[in-house]
This record gives sequence, C-alpha cells and structure tokens, in this order.
Amino acid sequence: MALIMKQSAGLKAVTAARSRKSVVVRAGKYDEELIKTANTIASKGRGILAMDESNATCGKRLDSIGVENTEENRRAYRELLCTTPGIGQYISGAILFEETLYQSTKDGRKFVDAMKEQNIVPGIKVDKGLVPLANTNGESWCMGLDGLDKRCAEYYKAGARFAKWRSVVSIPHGPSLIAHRDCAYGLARYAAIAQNAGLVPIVEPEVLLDGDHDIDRCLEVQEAIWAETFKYMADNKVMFEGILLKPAMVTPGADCPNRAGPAKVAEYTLKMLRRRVPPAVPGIMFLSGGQSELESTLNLNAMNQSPNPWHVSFSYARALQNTVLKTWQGKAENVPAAQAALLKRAKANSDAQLGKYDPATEGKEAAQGMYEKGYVY
Amino acid sequence: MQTKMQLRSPRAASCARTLRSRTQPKVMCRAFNSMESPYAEELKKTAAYIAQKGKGILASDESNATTGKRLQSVGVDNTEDNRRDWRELLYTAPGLGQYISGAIMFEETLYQKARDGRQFVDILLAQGIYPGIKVDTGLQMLPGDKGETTTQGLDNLADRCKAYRKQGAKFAKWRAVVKIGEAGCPSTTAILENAHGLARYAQICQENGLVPIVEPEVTLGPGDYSIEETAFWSERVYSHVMRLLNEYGVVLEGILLKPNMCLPGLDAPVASPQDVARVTVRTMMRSIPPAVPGIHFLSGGMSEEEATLNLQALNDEAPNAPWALTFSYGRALQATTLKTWAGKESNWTAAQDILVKLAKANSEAAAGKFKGPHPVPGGGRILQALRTGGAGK
Repeated sequence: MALIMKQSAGLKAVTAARSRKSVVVRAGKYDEELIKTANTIASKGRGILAMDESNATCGKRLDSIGVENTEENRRAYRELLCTTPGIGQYISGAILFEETLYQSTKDGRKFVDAMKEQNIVPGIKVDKGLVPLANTNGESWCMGLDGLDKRCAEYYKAGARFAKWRSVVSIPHGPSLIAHRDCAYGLARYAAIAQNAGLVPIVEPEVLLDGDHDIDRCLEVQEAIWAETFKYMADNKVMFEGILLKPAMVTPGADCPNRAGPAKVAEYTLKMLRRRVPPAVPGIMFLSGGQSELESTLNLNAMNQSPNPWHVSFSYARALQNTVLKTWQGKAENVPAAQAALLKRAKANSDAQLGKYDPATEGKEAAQGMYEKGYVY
Repeated sequence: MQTKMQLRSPRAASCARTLRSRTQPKVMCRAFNSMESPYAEELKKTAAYIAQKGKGILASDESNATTGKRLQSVGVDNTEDNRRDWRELLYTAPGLGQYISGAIMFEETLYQKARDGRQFVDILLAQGIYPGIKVDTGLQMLPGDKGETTTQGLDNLADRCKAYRKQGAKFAKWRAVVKIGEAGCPSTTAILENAHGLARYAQICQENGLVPIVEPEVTLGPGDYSIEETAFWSERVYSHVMRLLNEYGVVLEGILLKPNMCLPGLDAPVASPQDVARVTVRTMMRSIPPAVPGIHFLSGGMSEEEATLNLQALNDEAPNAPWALTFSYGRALQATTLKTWAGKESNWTAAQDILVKLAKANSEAAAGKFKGPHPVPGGGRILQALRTGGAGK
C-alpha cells in the first residue's frame, strides 16, 4: 500500500511540475533514517565485514580448510565472525547472506541482535547472482529486480538496515555497451527500491581484476562505469546522501606485467573518485577483489593520507577472512585464536582508514595473494 | 537458488562468438587521457588559479547589442568607443586584481586597447586577472511555443579558440539557458540539447588550450515556483551535463562551473540567504564531483546586496566544500558602477571606486568573511529579458 502511495506521489510530482502546482521533490518515508544509517556505517576508523558468500561459495571456503559445507558449519563460522569481542570498534556493518540473516548463535541469540549489541549494522545481499548476457562477448548481468521490493521489506523486518548488489564489468571481455548499461541500470533500479524499503543500498559495479590491461585502461573503464551508474541513479531519483559505494580500486589487471604500488593505486583511485563521485555520498567502501590482506590494507592506507570529501574505507571479505579461516580449521578450540586474527585484520584496516597503518606489525600470512582467475563469487 | 555463471576464458569465448558479438562496440570511454593532451596540465593550473579562494570572476562579456541596452539606460550611445571606454573603466580600476582572478570579454573587447594604447589583455594580466572570452554566438528559440532556447556557436569553434588563445585569452565561456516555471518546461529536448552544446563546447575548448566555463543556467523567471522546484530541475540539468562531459572526455580538473543559485520564482517570496545556501549547497553536493576546482555562481538578476549575502551564506553553509564556492558576476558588479559613471569623465574615479568595493565585498563573501555593510545596500532585482536571434554585432 505504501509503495502504491509512493508511486502516485512520484507521479503526482511529475504531473504537478508539468501543470505548475507545487512539486514534491522526494516523498521518501525513510530518508532521514537512510542518511543516519549511511553515516553510521561510514564512521571514522570503521568499515564493513563482507560475509555474504552464497552457500556454494561459503562451501569453497570451508572446503579449503577441510570442513564440510553444512548449514551448521556455515552457522558456526559466521558466529565466530560476528561474536568476536570488541569487533565493533573497527567494523560498522556486516553484509549477510539470506540464510545467515535468519540464523542464531549457539546460545539462541539472533545474529542480527548479536551484531547490534556489538554496534554493527546488519546488511543483506539482495541480488540473485550473475547470468550470461545475450549478444555480448561472454559477459554477464546481475539478476534480482523481480520481487525485490517485497524481499527488501521482509529483510527490513528481520533487522537488516542496508543492502548490497554486486554487478561485474570485465575488461578482457569488453566491456560492451550492452553489459555496461545493464550494470548501471540494474544498480540504479535496485538502489531506488532498496531506499524505498528503508535499506541503504551499497552500489557495487565491480570492475574485475582479471586481465592484462594496464592501470590507465582500468581508470578509463572505471570512470565510464561510474559516470553511467550515477546518471542512471539520478534518473531513478536515488538519494545520494543515503547510499554507499563499493568500487574496486583502480589497479593494473592481474596479468599486467607493470605492477603498481600503494602510492600509485591511491593516486589513480582518488583521481577516479574525485572525477565521478559527488560529495553528497557519505562513504566509499572498497572491495578487495583478490588482493592480498596486506595489499588491501596498504592501498587503503595510502588513500587516507589527506582528507577526502567522503569517508574512504573498506568492505572486505577475503581480505578480512583469509587468515581467520586458516586459523580456525573448523575446530572449536581454535575459535579464540581465529577471532584474534579477525580483530587484528579489522584493526589494521581501521588504522588504514585513519591513514595510520604500520605494516611492520604484519606476519607472512597477510601477504598471500588471493587472486583467482575467472573467480566466480 | 542462484544460477552460476562461468566466465568463459577468452579462447573458449572466441569459438562461441557469434557475428553479433564480434561486432560489439566497446564501451564509449574516450582515451582523452590527461597524459596525452599537451594542454592538460596548463588547463588544470589555469582553472585552479581562477578558482583560488577569495577571488572571483568579473563577467563583462555582454554582446554589443546587450551592452548597448546598458549604455542607453544611462543615456550613453552604443558606439564602439563608448563600449571601449566602459570596459576600460572596469579593467583599469586600481586594485581590482586583489579580488578578481578572471574577466570574461566579448570578442570585440578582447582585441581592444585602452586610450593609452595598451591592450586590454595586457592591462588585465598586469593586474593578475586572466582574460576570458565568450565563445557562444547567442540563444536561438527551440521549436515549440514554450520559449525554450538552445545556444549556438559550435561552428568553427576550434579555429576561434586558437585565435583567442593567441590573443591572450586563457578561458572561455558558453551560456546555456534552461527555462522552468511554465507548463511543460523544461522539456527533455531543451535539457538534452543544452547539455550537448555545453559538452561539445567544453571538449573543443580543452583541445585548443582554453579552460571552459560550463554555464547551465536554470534561469530565474516569472512564476511562483518554489526553491525546491528550482533545485529539482537543477539536479536534472546538471546530471545530464556531467554525464555528457564525461562522455566527451572533458577533464573535470580543467573546467569551471557557472551555475545558478537555487531561488524561487520571481512571483514567490524572496528566499532568505540561509535557505538559498542550504538548498544550493545540497544541489551542488549531489551533482558536482570534487574534481571541478571552482563553482562560480552567476548573479542572474539578484540585487548587488543579495548576490553578496547569498554567497556569504553559501560559504557559511559549506566552509569545507571540495570546490571553491565563488562568483562570476555581471550585473551584480556592474549595475551601480554604470549608474555612477553615466558616461561622464568626471565620474570615472567614483565609478571605479564602487566597482572595487563591490568586488571586495564579494571576494570576502567567497572567503566566508563578509561582515558588511554592503557598498550598495537595499537594491532591487536587476532583471533582463532573454535575448534570442544570435550574437549582436
């Protein structure tokens, strides 16, 4: 009912503009809450823990440490992550997969409540994954708009306050105009729907690390996709004060012989952001996309050496979880050590957000690369 | 249940590629990379100089026809000498360069000299004021009877830019006007057409070594439309403009923006400086990426005092804005100056004096430091009709 009223308010606004009565610019029921949530997530020294791997992908993680992919094991692993004592100092939000949103800790607390106790805002992955895109060069598009308004309303009821949708752009495969436009279109429509349901949308057009392109080509493609995405979002009347971005950093492709250190990655990435991101956006939470834990932290630190018009931070999955998984090995007696590893990585990235990270404190594990060619999420 | 998508390796993809895929156009991202353009670094420096905190632009680029109307309003004939005298008064005002970083000129003026034989461009540069040049050739009516316009001037623009640069111009200006406040306005046609003109103009300027001032003016007009409605349409217009600037590979660090402040229609109550500031800053924050060094608001009919107070309020509202919030004022710097001169030699110094006082007031406002009193308090709106039909001779 609220949705129908909202639509007619929007229609009224357009009609009114045409017939010169007063214009309702935006009748968003959740506007103030969205701004508050976005700014809470984009708070100083904090970032997002992405733990929304689908069951199949989570299975791959568990497999890598010899743990069976059962619901209980997935639950136990996610409990380890979100009950890490003190994690809320460094983590402001955690993205969940749908299964996890409805799970509970061993002692019967709902995960969303356990997270709220830790001062962490629960988020939810709402896209339905990538599928082949017709008439393109092997590219994909992201599904999930059908029934999205109802799903978002349900997730809000269950305690989620932000959402995430991941589209991809592949440089080696194009990107073609079709894939480019669909990526921006899907994100814009999802963002508008999510905001209307009270969820802050994280907007993620991931330019994949795959390829042998140089950093200039990456910059070119990133500038193009963000221009397109902001245009479609503006057309769909998305409120920029109530979104968060999740871009890839601007880097050379994984197979490019010319590597780039943190200073260069920071220079190129900030250039891209300054050219494409209006200051109304409160936070930019970078994905790690296959970089090692160490690289992800160093690059983020380099970007925070002087003030930025938006909060520049992290939304890391592999770059926060890699060492945690290896330490846990699926064994209950390893949980404290695994949680300590998570806290350590979270603090390192918190320091990086503040521009104060010191790499001298790191071990060997952190430098391990996590790039997988043709990585399927 | 999510369907998995295996990204095919390029080798496998090539086997499966259909004719359609083989002819797939790549993403339209220009390779106009700052490392390729010989002018890119210079453009960024020029834009940064003009946008430096506490300075703004004197817009003195009225066409001969419009200048004529101004001169006639104080009983002065519209001759080339009188136009030259008037601009000499402005550019030789002592100390103007403390407050003004750029002056926009009409083509005739760019090539004129002061009475003592010095080129205007040299006089300006000696004051630390960069010369700029209006390059559009005026407004034309769009089809339909809504009074909407497009801006002309792309023909031969590259050659003209080269010539202007040779003469000493460092930046250019093109004014696009979007009308709101009437049924059906603005039409999609008007928005797209004006955005396109701005983007192509900006691209050509940069290629030929001039910093383009991009001016999408959502014009103050009759009607009782609200400040929110102005903001709504301004966001739509800027969104299209930014998208096309991106599409045409315009380097944002090397442009300046000249937008309208958000004001309600002429038949609605005048908005307070605080309301103007709140809504205008919000609109800019939503629309303009930080790479643009300066936002130079047009005065567009505001009284001289209103233009200064609103500018101060903008800087109060956003003291840490990522772009300079400053001015490019025509009428708000010239109206009383002209009345004071009235074409009489004996009023020359007094007129220059009031110009510099007005420039100082706006310079202080642009630095967030204007405390008053205003040199010309209590003035009314300074309105002019839209003139169409191409540039006057």
